[in-house]
Amino acid sequence: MAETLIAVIGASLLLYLLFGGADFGAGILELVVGPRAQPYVDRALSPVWETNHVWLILAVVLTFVGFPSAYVAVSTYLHVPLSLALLGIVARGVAFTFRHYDPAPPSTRRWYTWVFKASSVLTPFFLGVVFAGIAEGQMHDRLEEGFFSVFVSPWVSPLAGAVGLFTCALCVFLAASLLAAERGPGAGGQLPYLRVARGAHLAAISLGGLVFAVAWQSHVAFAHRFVGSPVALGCMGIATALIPVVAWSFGRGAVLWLRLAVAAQVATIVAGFGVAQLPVLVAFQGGESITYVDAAAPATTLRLLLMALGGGAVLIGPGIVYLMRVYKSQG
Amino acid sequence: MNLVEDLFAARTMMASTLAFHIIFACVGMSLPWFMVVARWREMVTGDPLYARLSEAWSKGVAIFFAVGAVSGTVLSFQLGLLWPGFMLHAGPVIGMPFSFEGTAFFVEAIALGLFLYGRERLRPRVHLACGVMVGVAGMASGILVIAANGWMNSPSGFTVGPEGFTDIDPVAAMLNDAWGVEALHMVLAALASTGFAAAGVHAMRLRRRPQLRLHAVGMRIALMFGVVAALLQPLSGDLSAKSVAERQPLKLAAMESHFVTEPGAGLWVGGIPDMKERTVNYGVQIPYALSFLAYADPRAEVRGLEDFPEEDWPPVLVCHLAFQLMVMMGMGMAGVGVLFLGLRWKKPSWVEHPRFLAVVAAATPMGFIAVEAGWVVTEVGRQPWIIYGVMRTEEALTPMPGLWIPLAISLAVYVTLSALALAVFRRQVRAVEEGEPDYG
Ligand code: HDD
Ligand code: HEM
Ligand code: HEM
Repeated sequence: MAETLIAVIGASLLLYLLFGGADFGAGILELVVGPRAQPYVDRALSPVWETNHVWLILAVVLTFVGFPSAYVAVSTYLHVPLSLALLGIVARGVAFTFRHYDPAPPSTRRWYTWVFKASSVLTPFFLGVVFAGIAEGQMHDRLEEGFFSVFVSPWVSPLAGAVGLFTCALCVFLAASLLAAERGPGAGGQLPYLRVARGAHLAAISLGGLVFAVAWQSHVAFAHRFVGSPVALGCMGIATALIPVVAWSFGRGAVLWLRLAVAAQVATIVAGFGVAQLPVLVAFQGGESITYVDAAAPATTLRLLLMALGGGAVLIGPGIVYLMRVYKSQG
Repeated sequence: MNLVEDLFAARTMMASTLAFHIIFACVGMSLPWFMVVARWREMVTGDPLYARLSEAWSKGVAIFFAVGAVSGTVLSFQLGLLWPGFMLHAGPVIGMPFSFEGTAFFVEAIALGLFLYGRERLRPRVHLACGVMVGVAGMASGILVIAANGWMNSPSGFTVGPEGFTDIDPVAAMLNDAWGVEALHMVLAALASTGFAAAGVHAMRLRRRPQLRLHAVGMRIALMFGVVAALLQPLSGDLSAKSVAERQPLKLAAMESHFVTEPGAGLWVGGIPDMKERTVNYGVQIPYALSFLAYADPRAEVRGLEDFPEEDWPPVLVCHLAFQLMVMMGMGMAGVGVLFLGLRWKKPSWVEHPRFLAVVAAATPMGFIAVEAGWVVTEVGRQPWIIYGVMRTEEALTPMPGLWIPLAISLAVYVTLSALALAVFRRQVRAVEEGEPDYG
């Protein structure tokens, strides 16, 4: 049961990365491409932005119900980067909502846009930092060593910086691939996004490489488990094999293929990381860790939780499909 | 060393996030229903005025929904950031309502999307049904989280042993003794507060621009919701008080500044508790009323604060004042309600009389004041416990020092956001008015 729950949490995080990530990326794109991007960004975001954070909330709630000690460890020792990411989420959500609905004078709207862009970088960066902190294994509970050692050093590292940047690049890549479709197939060639998307693709690949190199260099156990796991390597293999597919669909403006390939690439990367991390949920200094077995809530809780999830999925799945159909009709 | 300061900062931060969130929660639970009624009137009468009203309200729902979801995201992290000791044990016990709430939120988001984008694309009945789903899901969200709060007041569904919480039964935890009364009271509070606030805004604008039918119609619909809820609220509050008397006698005593255990206890109206002399100054006491309200028997014995060790007392002054404020606001709204129903019945045209509009405008914030005060009663009245009788609030606190920094940042954020939201709201109202054919 704990395994199923882990899979659901992983899927939820993946969906957050795909949808929420495209969201963040669109904000970063606006930063890169400039105001020309705004109409596309608004249009692409408006049907989904209300539902996006819910994937994150779902993952958080499932973690605190199903694996409370892991949730508590992360929120205690990574308090600072989590708070910064939260600040970004608040600023971004509010700025976007207001920009969308507020009939404000241009000077105010410029402010909204500025906050929107800045927080679109801040949030994914610090979420990346949090994930690096969870995997890197520099957390410890020796409170007597002082604030800096307990609450800052576990997440201030070259690896954390690299993962943060990597997350941002992934987001841009996702958003650019999504936005490349905004004018329909064929015409995509004229859009600036295609160039940006290609650039972001390269950046994501090279930053991914950097992350791995840094992790290897700083002897993070995670990196070694990664190399030792055939499944993780297989996932990476698939992701690599998809690179030419992505490049080809960019060249052809084949939007559907592009989206599928991009989603598959991100999914395999996440799955690979997940497989390499498990059974560890949170790594501490000196090789200690909380595994999902240690952290799992009692069986009654897990069983009820999975039942609630199943019931929810039955309600929600058809709803999403219906919403998308209505939105696309005469869209 | 700095435990006291950090504890204070953490409590204030939690309280401010919740106080902010509850406003969006109340609106999210109620405004969809106003929008649905307007849509339904549109279908019945064919009057495009109702269509414009329903559309204006649905935009409000969208804005409040988005900001509410953001503040809810903050809350789901903040519980762990501030109270890890609580979440470690409480998570598996009270997770059920939170996971159901996630479903409710999803359904609400989907239905709202359909309502917003489907006005032209869906058949009217289907469109209306989507609006109803938004309302149902919003209410469900609110009712479900209250189960978690009820559990903190009246913990059930586990045993405390040396290995922590065992024999966990999430269903029993969810069906705790406080949930029913709290949820009922909260639903009514949401309708009353949003109803009075919306009606008040329409009344204010109607005073300025009497020709705008949109405001006249909007005020009537909102006020109807608000008034019905406000008239039921004292009854529900009485149920709450009886339930508190049974499960948290200490909270009741603090709310009432009731120091001495006695039969036939009186009820203080107003007054300031004097902690040294253990009496209440400047108040009026209604004989036997407390015994009657708490136990439906004017001779019943009501336990006073003196029966309990002083280190278990909640802050008496805060609870007492907050309780008085809530009841005062409740009585005020019920009074406006009686007036409104009377006018509608005897002198329907006076409903738009400037005097009555002034009364409604004055009542704008009363519901929300009562909501915030009521939550202070519930939450401060539970102190020093985070889980009543099981875990002290300070045991749950994070070891992270210097919490006043995030507190200062979050207060600044909330103040800015509130100011911004008010400005956006005014511009929205203006924009809606300018789109009206009878704007002139
Ligand atoms: C419009 C808002 C509103 C109004 C008019 C009232 N209340 Fe209230 N009250 C609330 C809004 C509220 C609340 C904010 O929603 C609370 C906080 C927790 C809860 O369940 O409801 C609350 C809590 C609360 C509690 C504590 C419950 C607990 O700790 O479990 C009691 C005893 C009362 N109320 C009693 C009353 C009485 C006797 C009222 C008479 C008029 C009254 N309330 C009006
Ligand atoms: C009495 C207190 C509360 C009430 C009545 C309440 C009610 C609601 C409502 C009605 C919504 C939907 C927002 C909208 O439609 O505008 C909402 C959103 C949300 N609330 Fe609260 N809430 C309360 C406290 C909390 C607490 C303590 C948490 C912390 C975990 C929380 C977490 C959330 C989250 C995460 C969301 C957004 C997504 C979702 O609904 O799952 N709420 N709340
Ligand atoms: C939304 C309406 C609510 C408001 C306005 C509110 C208000 C407050 C206040 C004023 C405090 C500080 C009490 C003190 O320390 O003296 C507090 C604490 C707290 N509340 Fe609430 N509350 C609300 C709902 C909830 C709900 C639904 C939950 C549970 C799921 C919750 C969980 C907590 C926790 C964990 C604390 C911190 C521990 C404590 O001080 O006991 N609150 N809240």
